[in-house]
Amino acid sequence: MAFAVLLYAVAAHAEGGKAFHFRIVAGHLKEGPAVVRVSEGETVSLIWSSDQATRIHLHGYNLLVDVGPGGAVEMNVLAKATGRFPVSLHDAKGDGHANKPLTYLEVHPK
Amino acid sequence: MSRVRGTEIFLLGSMVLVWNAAPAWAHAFGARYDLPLPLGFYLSGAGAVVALTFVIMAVFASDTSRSGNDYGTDLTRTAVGAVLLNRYLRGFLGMIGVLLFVLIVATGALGVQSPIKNFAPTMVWVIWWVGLAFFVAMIGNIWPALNPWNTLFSWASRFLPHMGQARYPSALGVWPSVVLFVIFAWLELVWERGDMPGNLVCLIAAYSALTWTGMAVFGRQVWLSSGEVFNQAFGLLGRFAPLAVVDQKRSVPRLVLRPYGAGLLPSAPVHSSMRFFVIVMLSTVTFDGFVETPLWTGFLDWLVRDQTVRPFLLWLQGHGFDLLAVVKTIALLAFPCLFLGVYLGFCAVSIALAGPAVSFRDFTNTLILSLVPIAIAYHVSHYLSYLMLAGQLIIPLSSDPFGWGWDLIGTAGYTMDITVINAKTVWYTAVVAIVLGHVLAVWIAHVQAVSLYRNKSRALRSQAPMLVLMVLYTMISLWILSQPIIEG
Repeated sequence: MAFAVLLYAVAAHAEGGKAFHFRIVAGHLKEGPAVVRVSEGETVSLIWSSDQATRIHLHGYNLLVDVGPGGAVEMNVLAKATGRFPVSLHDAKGDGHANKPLTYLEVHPK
Repeated sequence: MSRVRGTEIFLLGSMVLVWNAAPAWAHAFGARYDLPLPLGFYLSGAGAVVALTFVIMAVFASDTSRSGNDYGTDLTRTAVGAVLLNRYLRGFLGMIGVLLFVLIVATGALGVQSPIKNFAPTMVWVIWWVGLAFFVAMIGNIWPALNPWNTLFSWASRFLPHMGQARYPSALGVWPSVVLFVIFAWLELVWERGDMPGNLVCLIAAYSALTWTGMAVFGRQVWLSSGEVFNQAFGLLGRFAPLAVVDQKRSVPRLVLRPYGAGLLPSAPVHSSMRFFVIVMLSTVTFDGFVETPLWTGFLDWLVRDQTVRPFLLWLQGHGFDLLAVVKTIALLAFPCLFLGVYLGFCAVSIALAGPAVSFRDFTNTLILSLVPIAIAYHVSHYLSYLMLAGQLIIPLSSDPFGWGWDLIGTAGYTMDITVINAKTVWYTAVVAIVLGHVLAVWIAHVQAVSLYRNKSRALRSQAPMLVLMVLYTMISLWILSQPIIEG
C-alpha cells in the first residue's frame, strides 16, 4: 500500500512523465521491469531503493545516483537521445561493474 | 567490438559455474547503445531483398553481360587524379601514419593506463580499425599509403640494401595473413584486454617484430601481399570501394573511378588461401554481432545447464580456465568452418546444376568475392552508431593524449553527445545498405558466373543456389540487427 502511494506520488511529481520503481536487495534486482520503454522527448523517472548503500549508473546519459537504506532515490531522465542504455550497479571500489545490467532504458524515436 | 561480459552464476548441486566478471572499464569503451531494428524495417528489408533478387535475375536473363574490366573510368589525367596520385600526398600520408604510430606507442606505454583516458585504445580500435575500414570500403584504400610498418621499413632498408633475398613459397599464398587474422579476431572479440594501453603496446611490438622480420626475410612487397594481415583486410575492403589506384607495378599508377563492388570482379580466380581469408573475415563480422544476441546468451545458459557438458566445464573451471573465453574461442573457430562448409556445399550444387565446364576450385575461388558486399553492408549497419558515438572520444583525447591533464587544443573537456545520431537514421541506413549490398552481391556473382562459363544458360543455372545462399546470408545480417544487444 505504501509502495502504491509512493508510486502515485512520484508519478504525479513527474508531471505526466512515466515513473518506474526498482528495488535492489543484496545487489540484485528484486522488483522492477527488465526493460523500460519510452519515446524520445519524454521524461522518465527511475526510482531506486536498496537495502545496501550502492551507486547506480545509467550509461550513455551518464547519470549516477547514490542509493541506500535511507529511502528511495529518483533518477530523472529527459529522454532526448534514442537508443538502448544499460543501467548497472557500481561496486564499492569505484567505477567497476561486477554485475550484468539491472535494466535497460530503451528510448524509441518519435 | 562485442562487450558480452558479466557474471552468470548457476548453482548446480554443490558446484558453481561462473562466466567471467566484467572488468572495471567494460561499460565505457566498447559500449553500444543500438536499439534493435523494428519488425517493420526488418520485414521491409527482407521483402525488398527477395523481390530485388528476382528482378535482377529477370534483368540479367535479357542482358548481354559485360566483363568486370568495362566498368571503370580513368581519372589519372583529371585534376582529381593529379591530386590523389601526387607522390607528395603519398609521402605526407606516410608521415601521418608514422606519426600516429609513434604517438600510439608513446601514449600506450607512458600514458595513464585507462582505456578511455589514453589516446591509444580509441585511436586503434575505434578510429583505425572501425573508422578506417569504413573509409576504405566507402571511398578508397589509403592503407598502403598510411601503413607505418611499410613506411618505416622502407626508410630503414635504404641503409640495409641486402635484405629480402629469400624466396617466398608461392603455395603459401596469404596463409600467414589467415592465421594472423584469426589471432587478431580472437584478441579483439574474445581476449578483449587489448583495450588496456599497455597490452596494446605489447601487441603492436610483437606484430611489428613479426612484420619487419617477414619483410627482411622475403622482401617488403612480398610480405605486404602475403603476411601483412591488415594489407589483405583493407585490400579486400578496398576492392569494394569506388576509387582505386591500379597497376601499381607499372611506373605510372592510374586512378580509377568505378561502381561500388566492381573491384570485386576478378580477372582470375583468387588463391585458395585468399578464399579462406575472405571466409574468415565474413564469418568474424557475423560472429561479432551474433555474440550480442539473446540467442547466444540463451545458448550459454543451455550450456551450463546441460548434463553432458557440465562435467567438462567444471573440469575446465577447476583448472583455471575462463569459461566464457573457452566457449567463445571454440565458437570463433567453428564459425569459419561452418561458413566454409555451407559455402562449398552451395557451390557444389551450383556446379552440379550448371555442368562440369568449370572446376570446383575455380568456381569457389571466384564466387567467394561476391559475398563481400553483404558483409560490408552489415558491418556498416552494425558499427555506424558505435563509430559516431565512441569516435567522439578522440576529441578530448587529442587534447590530452597521455591522460596527464593536458589541454593542447582546448578540447579536453569535451563530453560525448549521444544525440548525434538518431535511431531512425541508423535503421534507414541499415536497411538501405543491406538491400544495396545484396543487390551488388547478386550482380557480381552473375558477372563472375558469365565470365567463368562463357555460356549464359549455364551461368544462370549456376546462379540459383548462389542466390539462395545470398538471401540466407543477408537475412542472417538483418536478423542480428533486429535483436536487442545483450550485455552479459
